[in-house]
Amino acid sequence: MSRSGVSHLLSPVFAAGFFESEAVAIVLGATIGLAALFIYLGMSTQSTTGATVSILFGSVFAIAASTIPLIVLLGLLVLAAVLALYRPLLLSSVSPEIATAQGLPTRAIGAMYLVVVGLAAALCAITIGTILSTALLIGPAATALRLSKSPLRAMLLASVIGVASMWAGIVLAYDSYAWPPGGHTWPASFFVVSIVLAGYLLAGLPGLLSRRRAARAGRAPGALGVGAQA
Amino acid sequence: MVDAWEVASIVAVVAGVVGFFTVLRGSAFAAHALPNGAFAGAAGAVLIGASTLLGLAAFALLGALVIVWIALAASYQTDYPVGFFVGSGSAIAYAAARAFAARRRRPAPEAPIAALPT
Repeated sequence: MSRSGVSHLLSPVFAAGFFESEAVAIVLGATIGLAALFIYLGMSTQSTTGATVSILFGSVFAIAASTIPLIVLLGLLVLAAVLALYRPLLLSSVSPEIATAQGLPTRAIGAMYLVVVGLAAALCAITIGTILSTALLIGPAATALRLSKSPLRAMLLASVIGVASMWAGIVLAYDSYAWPPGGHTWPASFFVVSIVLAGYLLAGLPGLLSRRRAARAGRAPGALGVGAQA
Repeated sequence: MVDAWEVASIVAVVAGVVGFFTVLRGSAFAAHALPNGAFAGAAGAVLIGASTLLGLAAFALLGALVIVWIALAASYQTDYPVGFFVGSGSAIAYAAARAFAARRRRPAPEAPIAALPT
């Protein structure tokens, strides 16, 4: 793993997975260690246990109205960055070799993309929690890519699926006030993530069925099914 | 409730657009690590009474930059493991020392580690 990681990092053309490796893991470990420190300090000086849980698992109902302008600003910033980077980012994501051959600075693009992901991740984290924000970033996009291979359509579809999951999750959380144990709503994050997962599995169904049919018909299974990467 | 709807909608659109590239590039690990790393920022923000979102955003940005820095430093140095561990180690020590210093307002015990050459 380590050796392949080194050759991975040293490879000048491999831009798509360039920042994927030990560097990410090291930073993840370090920051979670830092989180442990902050939580410890917080617990020994004030009672922030409730805050910890709401940061980890999200608290979409508890977002203060005063933070909305900042959320809108960050959201627009991310969208503007993606718009500005769109073509080179798309090319370097789909085919890093061609992007490099065309003289695109794939590493710089990868770095800028990582910053954009960071901002988007922060936005997701404030809504459905730091742990579950991965589900919101990956889930709707993965579902959309199962349904459409056209970039713009997949992006639009991912946004629509994300918004629909969020709305449905919020409605269910609102309704769950009447559910057991009663007197409390269930976490909206739970519903959102469950809906995202259900959507992902459902989107894989056509590909699965067509591969089954192909296998039964005697052709090679899983040749180019829509859900082949799953 | 209305706030929740607004925020959820904005965030979901942003997540869909950015997530598309994340899936395309297969960088789900970074997309997982950055918000979890940003948790430290949120915890720190709660600790000092600052905005949670600002803490999250600051640490997610910082995390992204450190990942880029480590990856680039590692790829350009011939002595890969040494540069890697000294670079990341001193970054962590520096961050921890700063956090402690800001909190305690006196020199942190970790401070000398930050003086290591990168």
